[in-house]
Amino acid sequence: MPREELISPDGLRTDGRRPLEVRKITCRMGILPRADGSCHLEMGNTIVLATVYGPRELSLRPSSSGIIRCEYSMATFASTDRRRRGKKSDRNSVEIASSIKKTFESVLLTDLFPNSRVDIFIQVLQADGGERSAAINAVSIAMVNAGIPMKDLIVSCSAGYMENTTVMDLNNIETIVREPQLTIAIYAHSEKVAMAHLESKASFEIFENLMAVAKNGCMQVFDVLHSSIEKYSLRLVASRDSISTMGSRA
Amino acid sequence: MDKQKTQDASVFVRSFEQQEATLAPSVAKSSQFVAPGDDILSQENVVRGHGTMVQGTRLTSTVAGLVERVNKLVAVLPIRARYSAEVGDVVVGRIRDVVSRRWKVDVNSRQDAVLLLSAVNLPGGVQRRRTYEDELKMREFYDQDDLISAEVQELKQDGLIMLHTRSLKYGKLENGIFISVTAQLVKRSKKHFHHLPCGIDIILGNNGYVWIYIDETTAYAEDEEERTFPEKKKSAKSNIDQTLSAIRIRNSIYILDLYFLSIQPETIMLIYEQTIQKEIPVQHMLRPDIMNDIYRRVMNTKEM
Repeated sequence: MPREELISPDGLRTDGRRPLEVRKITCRMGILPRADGSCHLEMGNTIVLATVYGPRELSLRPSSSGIIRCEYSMATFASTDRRRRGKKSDRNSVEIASSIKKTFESVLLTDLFPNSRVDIFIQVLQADGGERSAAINAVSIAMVNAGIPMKDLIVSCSAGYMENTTVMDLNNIETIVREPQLTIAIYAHSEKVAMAHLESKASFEIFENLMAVAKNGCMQVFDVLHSSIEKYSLRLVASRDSISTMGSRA
Repeated sequence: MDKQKTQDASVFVRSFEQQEATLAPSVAKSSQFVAPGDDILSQENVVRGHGTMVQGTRLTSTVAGLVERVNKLVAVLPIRARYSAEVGDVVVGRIRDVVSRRWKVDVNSRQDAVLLLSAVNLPGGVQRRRTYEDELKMREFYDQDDLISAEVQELKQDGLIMLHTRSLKYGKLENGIFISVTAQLVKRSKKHFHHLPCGIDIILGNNGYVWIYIDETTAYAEDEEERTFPEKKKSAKSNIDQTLSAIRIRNSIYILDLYFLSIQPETIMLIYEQTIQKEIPVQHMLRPDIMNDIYRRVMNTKEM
């Protein structure tokens, strides 16, 4: 494959970002009124829709703590790639689903809802790299929207090493390159790592570098997500209180 | 009334986004807003309540909501969540399953509530021991998919909800409209059975399930013979105007839920009266453009 240059002499990337810059994040919570929690998250051109149902009745044998199920699928129109995908049985989807499930098993306070289950459904509507971290961020917000208790907010970001530079939040073109790429999910406050996924081998120095850059990216993502949660929630509170005070006056 | 249909399919997104413009920024009141993992500002030796946890030396929140302080108790109330029951709550539920000596009832909670055979009033009102025959006849009392109103009698250690219908006001719900809303919008109050000024009755379940019906005992002067066959007589007599206003009430509640407005008899009537005033036909009430219009008008009258 003829290599395009991924980082211009000016130090800008293919989409015009600097190496340590995340893509524009837009997040809309609660867009599906029938679900307990939902989130439509855009990270640049990657768009993910996460839906959370529960905690709800578990019809299986009793369990002392809650059970989490996760389904990940990619829409057939999500990428330019004409490969048949999007089926649940797709190996890649199953892998991502199980890693997201494990991530959230560690962060949700499942002891608080015994004999119940939480269902997570993730749909990738547009794939432009970083679907794994976009999905984790979206699910995290959807969990907040559903009011499911958790230890901390989970945020995720990717980082990659190319052309002697470490860059964060890779897009599709940067993902195709066979270079070390790391996706991590961390607890936003304690900065503990909840999930880490490394593609191809990396030397120890590069790995440490990637880790630091990815963490930095996570914190940038966190700022955006936290402020959009706050904005959304305060709007709901204001809305609820605005009319109820009036009701009592009437 | 404008004829143009809204092209935008993402109705729900729009309704929330437009809310921003109409609401005053005097939002945060005095309580602190926290997201999961955020520190809760507090003094030492507080009692931690729901929605909080201790991580090392920090007291953190586990849900997104406002911090609620009562003396030393610090709790965070989630803004949206599934229904969490308290003893004495009035709920509306749907029978999910009939199992040995008990019904499983869906009450929009973390798990199905349980209604024991011994916690219902038997038809005829006789107080006696439940026999094996009663157990066989359970489906005649409440069958799968039946709607009931009930009260929370007890909460078990693991959060299991026990219901009872041992009062004449509780029991099977028939001939009415069901609508499900966000549970947090229904406040706990002394009364959950309301008779609205427009002649419609509603049960505002604490769990966010609402039942809208026309109480025949108040609506018509019925003689004894009629009351024994309420179903048949009602359909014959059922007044079209009343049915329409029941549907209007249902749609009003739907609008309140969509815009996340508190659901109480007063607020329902506010929307209801606004649509009557503007002569909006029932079938057009839920069009996105009209809902927005109603919402704006109601918010404007509030500022006056």
